[in-house]
Amino acid sequence: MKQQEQALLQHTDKINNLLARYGVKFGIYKNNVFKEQLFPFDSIPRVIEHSEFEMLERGLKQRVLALNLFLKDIYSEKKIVRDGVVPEDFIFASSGYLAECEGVMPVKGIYSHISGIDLVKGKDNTWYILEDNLRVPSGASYPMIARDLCRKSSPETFHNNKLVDNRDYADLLRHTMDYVNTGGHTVILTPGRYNAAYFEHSYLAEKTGAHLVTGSELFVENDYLYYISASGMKEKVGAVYRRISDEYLDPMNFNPESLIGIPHIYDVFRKGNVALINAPGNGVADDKGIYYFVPKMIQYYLNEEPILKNAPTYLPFYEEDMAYVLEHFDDLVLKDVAEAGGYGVVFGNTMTAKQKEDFITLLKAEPRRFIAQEVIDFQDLDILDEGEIVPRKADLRAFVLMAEEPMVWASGLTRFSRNPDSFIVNSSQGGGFKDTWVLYQ
Amino acid sequence: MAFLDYEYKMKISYSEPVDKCYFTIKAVPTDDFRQRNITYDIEMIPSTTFSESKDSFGNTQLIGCDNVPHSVFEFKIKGLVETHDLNISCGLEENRVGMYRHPHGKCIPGDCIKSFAEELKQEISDGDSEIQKCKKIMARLYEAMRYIPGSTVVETTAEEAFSKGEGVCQDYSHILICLLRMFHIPARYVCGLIVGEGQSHAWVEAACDGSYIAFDPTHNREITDEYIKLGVGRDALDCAINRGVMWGGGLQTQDIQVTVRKVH
Repeated sequence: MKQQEQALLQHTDKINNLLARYGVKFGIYKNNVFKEQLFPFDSIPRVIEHSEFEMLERGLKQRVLALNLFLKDIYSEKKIVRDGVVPEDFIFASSGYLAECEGVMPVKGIYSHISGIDLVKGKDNTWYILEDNLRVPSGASYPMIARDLCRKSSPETFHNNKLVDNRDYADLLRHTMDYVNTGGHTVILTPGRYNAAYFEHSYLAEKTGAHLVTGSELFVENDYLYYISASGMKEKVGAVYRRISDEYLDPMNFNPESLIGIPHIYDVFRKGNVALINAPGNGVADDKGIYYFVPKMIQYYLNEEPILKNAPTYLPFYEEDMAYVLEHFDDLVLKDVAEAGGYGVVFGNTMTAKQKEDFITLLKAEPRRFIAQEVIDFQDLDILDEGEIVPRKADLRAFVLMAEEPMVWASGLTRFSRNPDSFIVNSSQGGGFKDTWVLYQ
Repeated sequence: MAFLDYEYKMKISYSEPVDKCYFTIKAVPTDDFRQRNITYDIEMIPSTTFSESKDSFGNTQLIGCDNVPHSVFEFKIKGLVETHDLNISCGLEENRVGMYRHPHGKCIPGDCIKSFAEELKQEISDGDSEIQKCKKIMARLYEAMRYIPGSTVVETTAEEAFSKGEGVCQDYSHILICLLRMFHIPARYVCGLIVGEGQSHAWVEAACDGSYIAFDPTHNREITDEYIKLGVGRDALDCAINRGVMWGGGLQTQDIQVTVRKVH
């Protein structure tokens, strides 16, 4: 490790204390009880070389462009289905497909304004895409505030290392929201205080200058969306960065039981009178089943070879893949396409004979429900664990913002597993995070 | 061909005043292959501005908000529709028919419907046309169910109604939809009106041989020129005549009156 970084390590506790004081927390529900826990910060950064980042940047832009074109196609002509590239079942049977979005075009045709793309770096030095998050990906605020605090506690580190300043995320986000704003205020819609990512909602609102609102402060009148300002004035809203999921967004169009949504907001969107960031219905493109088809989408829509690789994936839906999965069961990780956040993931080699038998019965009955992947032997990153430096599994969530063209934030959220035997890094499963440095040259 | 003169009246009375109520009403007849709107008039009390648009299922929707306190809400549509004595209601929209292939909402088969479908498999041969399959399934469903008004509620699912063996037109339609989809025939729910007096009605459109063919499982028959289609969807919720979110209101009672007459 470089000497300059040593300075940062000495500040680990101080930074974690500051993060706690600023309320950098993660809320989780365990047995229906809401618990907030700190999101532990490890001060050894992940360092990405300049040339490596350039490659990632090109690959991520390409991927997000293709995913946006896919969404536009799926909710209109469905050429990719008609041309036999993606089987129809993978669209209509997906829980992320919303029939209510058929024929509705978001402002400027952008569906995924903010994409969180999860990657890992293999021991072969190759980066692999693990999953795309196109609904409401969270996490950008953690490296933002961590960098800020690190700069304050150890300014010399940032003087001595040639790394790209990542404090431009708020500007990129603001630009992304302004680009699709139909005229009026920009708001960040939060479900409220008891949401897992409430810290992030308030932090991003503060940094972008958007109003932080809950559903009860917004209302629809004559096909436009308004909010009541602190002074009681009725103000028009042109863009909503909504941090609530599709089903709760509008009780008149989606789940009628939703109490946190805004009646008719989706009808305002349908008329093109407000931008919803991200657009509803994106779940059809970040489903684990559709993941298999993303490299094919890149070829289909852009006529380019994919720059970034998927982890080798098998679809038991196809007979030859089912045969492979059954034969190599112990070497594979199996994922339920409907689950997220590290749930519904099982490793073939950890199952008992009985579990395996039951799983295979289920797999044969519902082949479309699962994907199987080779277990990627990904590189460990050093973390500081009670004063000792130890290797742990880590991934990277890269943020790609879409306005006139895609923009990749020169940073990202590096998450690691604190358990030495675990590959699962999700914060909801108790992992920690690191800053991600991108070097100049 | 027939001309149908219709009136649909809905009156919702609240035990306490409603301060504000958002509504989406899907009660305007569809224009398709077998029916055409000639005129229609809409009346609302309290009188409210609303906008007219299309939803993603192709239904006309009236959207608005009542924000004067009220304890009664009334909606009335009356009009004249030309209908044809055809079972074909319209062509398939190839891009969207896939949404009617899969279990959804109230139309998710459980054990009872699944085992019934297994029985039906014995009776249906590969040589049957899609329309024949629909008729056979509808006839067996008709035998298996008893029509009992009030035996189910709006929220009842296909599986719940089928396991009880009784229900109303909504339940018959939901169950038929489940079964047809299990036999790989895309099927959708239709909300509409039929000649006579009473309530709204529901039936099913199945994608057969490149068109939507309409079957009325409650009467075990194909539809005639006495039917007026108001909306379609994957289940009843997609084309519910009235959907609302309100502040206040307490308990509510709903009174619906439908009159449809053939005009000569």
